[in-house]
Amino acid sequence: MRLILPLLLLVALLVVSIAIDPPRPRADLVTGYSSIETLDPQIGRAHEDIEIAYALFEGLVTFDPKDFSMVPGVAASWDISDDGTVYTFHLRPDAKWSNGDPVTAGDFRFAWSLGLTPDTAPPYIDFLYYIKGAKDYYNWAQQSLTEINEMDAPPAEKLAAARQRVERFGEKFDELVGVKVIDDRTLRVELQEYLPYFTEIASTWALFPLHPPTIRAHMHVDPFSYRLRRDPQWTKPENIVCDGPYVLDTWEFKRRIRLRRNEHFHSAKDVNLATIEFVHFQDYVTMFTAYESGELDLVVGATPVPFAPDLIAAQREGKRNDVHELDAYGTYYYVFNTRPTVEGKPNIMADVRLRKALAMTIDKKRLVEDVTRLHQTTTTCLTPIGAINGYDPPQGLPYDPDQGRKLLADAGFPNGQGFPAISLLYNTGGGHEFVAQAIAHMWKEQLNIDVKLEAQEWKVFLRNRNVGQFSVARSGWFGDYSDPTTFVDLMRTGNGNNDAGFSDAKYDAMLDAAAAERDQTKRFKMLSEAEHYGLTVGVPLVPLYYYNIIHLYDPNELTGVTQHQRNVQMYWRIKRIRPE
Amino acid sequence: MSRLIFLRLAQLPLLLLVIYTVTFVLAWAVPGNPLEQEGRKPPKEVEEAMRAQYNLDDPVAFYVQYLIGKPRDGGGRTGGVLTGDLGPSLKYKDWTVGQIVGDALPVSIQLGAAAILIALIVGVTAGVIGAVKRGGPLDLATLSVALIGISMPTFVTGSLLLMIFTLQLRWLSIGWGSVSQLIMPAITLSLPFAAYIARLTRLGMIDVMSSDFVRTARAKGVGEGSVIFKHALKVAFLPVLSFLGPAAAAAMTGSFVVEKVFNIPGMGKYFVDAVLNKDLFLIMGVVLVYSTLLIVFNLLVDLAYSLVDPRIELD
Repeated sequence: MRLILPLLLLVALLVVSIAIDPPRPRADLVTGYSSIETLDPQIGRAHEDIEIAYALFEGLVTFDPKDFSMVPGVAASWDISDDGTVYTFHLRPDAKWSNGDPVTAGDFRFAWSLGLTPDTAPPYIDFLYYIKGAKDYYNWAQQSLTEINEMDAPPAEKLAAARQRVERFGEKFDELVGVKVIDDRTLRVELQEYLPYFTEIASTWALFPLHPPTIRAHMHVDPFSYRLRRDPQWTKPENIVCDGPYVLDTWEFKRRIRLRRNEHFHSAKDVNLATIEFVHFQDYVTMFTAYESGELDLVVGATPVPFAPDLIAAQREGKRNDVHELDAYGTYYYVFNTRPTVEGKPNIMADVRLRKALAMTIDKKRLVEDVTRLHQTTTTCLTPIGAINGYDPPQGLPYDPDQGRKLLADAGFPNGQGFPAISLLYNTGGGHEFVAQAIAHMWKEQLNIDVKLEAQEWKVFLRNRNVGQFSVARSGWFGDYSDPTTFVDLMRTGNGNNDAGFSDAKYDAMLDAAAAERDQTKRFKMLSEAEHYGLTVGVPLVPLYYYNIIHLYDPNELTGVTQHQRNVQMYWRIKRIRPE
Repeated sequence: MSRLIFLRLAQLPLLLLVIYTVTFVLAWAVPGNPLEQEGRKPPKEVEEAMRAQYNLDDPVAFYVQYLIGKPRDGGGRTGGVLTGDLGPSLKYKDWTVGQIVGDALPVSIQLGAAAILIALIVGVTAGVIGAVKRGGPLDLATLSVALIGISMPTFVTGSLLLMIFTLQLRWLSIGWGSVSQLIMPAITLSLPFAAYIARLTRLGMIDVMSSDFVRTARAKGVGEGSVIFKHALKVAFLPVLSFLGPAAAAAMTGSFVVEKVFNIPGMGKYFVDAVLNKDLFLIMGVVLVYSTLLIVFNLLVDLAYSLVDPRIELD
């Protein structure tokens, strides 16, 4: 009997724990996700977070996923002043929160006054900085916080001061920031300077409104740091109030997120899928298995599976009509360290002739056909071709091994003689090692130089690349908005993402001149010239190819899955084709 | 007996403090910044504000405050691991470590319990058959299966099951939530344990079957079934029991591969994920929960030992 006891215990444990999770009906659309960091749109950052943010919330402006054109969101229309710096948004009368409250101009002011503080510290705060006085307001919020922390007073007094500080947020915001609530339906926003793509910025998650009563109920002043804290519980289904096409029905951490149609949404009748379930997968192969077995209707971005090349081949041969491949709004490139010294020693890569020689001896066609086998579109420029209406990206450096060898000789290393081994930094996994090996091989073959391959764990890699502990490093960039500056700024002096440490006064001046130009056609031309100069004269990096993305779904069952390069799904535009 | 329990329980906090300190030092020494991500970097002032929010700029303050909480106005302290507050997750900003662990731990325990249950039933049966029919074809068969079970990694058996039952036959789905979804992962996870238990039982049974008390029992005219199950197995089971403690802990905590193959929302993934993301609070929380679990399991096995075998005194 004693022997059976542990067995019985185990059985009991099993029965009790299984009884807790009853299965539920299948949603209208079931798809997978790999990582959601937060549902708070203001602090959202990662791609999947942002797609869900667009399902739950809506900004003043929104976009049509077909061609990424800007269309009315909460604002039915807007006027732009002649000098292009003042926007007046007219809110639609039927814009409502999911609890039925109207969405007002004040809700935007409220959200922005919280976003522009060190207490919230949103990763995309730059998007708010475009508004006039926004930076001054942030500085005030930072300084007042520092003052309270440095006060020589008992904690109770400091806490009282901290509470007063938070109460002054609204008043200070009105005083310093160029945002004016004219009435519940009219919001005037003054920009720091002319910004041709501000309507797109106004459509982003960083400028979404927040429901003041909900947020207020979840805010408190932290008695230790004296910061205003927002309890993340506000994003849980029982608390969240949102203004987008969907509301949050269920969120089980790393299991599933279920959305249901927001009946208060102004276009609720156009929302075809009444429920959407996002199932969490740790691994894309498992996600693919679930899709193949019919558990998922849609996989967005299945590219990480190791057999992606076979999927693309099957699609090209006409064997699979459920594989949809598209170019992304992102470029895979190698960055050169242009700093004069590395770890106190002179940096040989500071010589532009060497950078050019390396850039011109990479056979990109071979990379995409034989190494990645994903057949990405190869490129010589940084900004994706065809992604921005009216922008014509320039030609960068061509593949020209003879010229490369000549440049190497000019730099003092004929046939690679005396060339010190340089380090090529990349992060482990993701197939980057194959590209790195192939490129090192090409350089050995064409230039007779040796390259030390250095694989590093992700976080270590990020840090070393950012501080310039490398000669050449693997890199990639996805644009944030539809303007070439989201790419060409990567080569600007002092840009936080300028891992090359590149600094060229002429290049910066070209960008400044373009920024001052009001004529969009001229401006794009100037930016294209700047990009050309950066990529062929400065050469802080060499673009290799655009990322590509694979979606999996049956085209006879679903329509409206975006095929646009920007690749942001608007789930409420997806429709299920139902047999008549 | 009670003295043992008392002693062990008294050791628990001390052991955990050592584990806490070692984990903290290692986690802090791992290069990389938990708030650093690929893509657009926030402006400097915002990055600093983020770091300051979580004490990431001061290891000593972090160590102390995470353990015993922060001082409260008017005396006393609040928060900290000691009050059960495991802190926020740095990567998954809407969740606390307590919520994450609370959600994932039951899953791992269910899966582990199911696996050990299967392992016990299959392993002991196979072991007994092997010992009784020693040298016969059945013995050979169970031995070979056991050998395969021990040598085959779970990601191979798991993937094989997946290919047959999910992709080809479409009988079973992957994920978590229904009994049918438990079948494949539990079997996969149980195989190495079942194989080990089978071998332990077989060896123990062979040994015991030739001992004096078994011969006496047979001489008294006790039926063969009764001899095997009532007399012999009871003694032969002891080595299995001592294996069961670490095995249960391993099954409930070390199912990372199985969780990945069958998409199960258990604890295993946080062990790896948390370190990769350098999610300090999550690392500390997961390690503390796991260590507590391990220590408790070992204690339980020691107790069970004395219950089953009256010859063992634990004082």
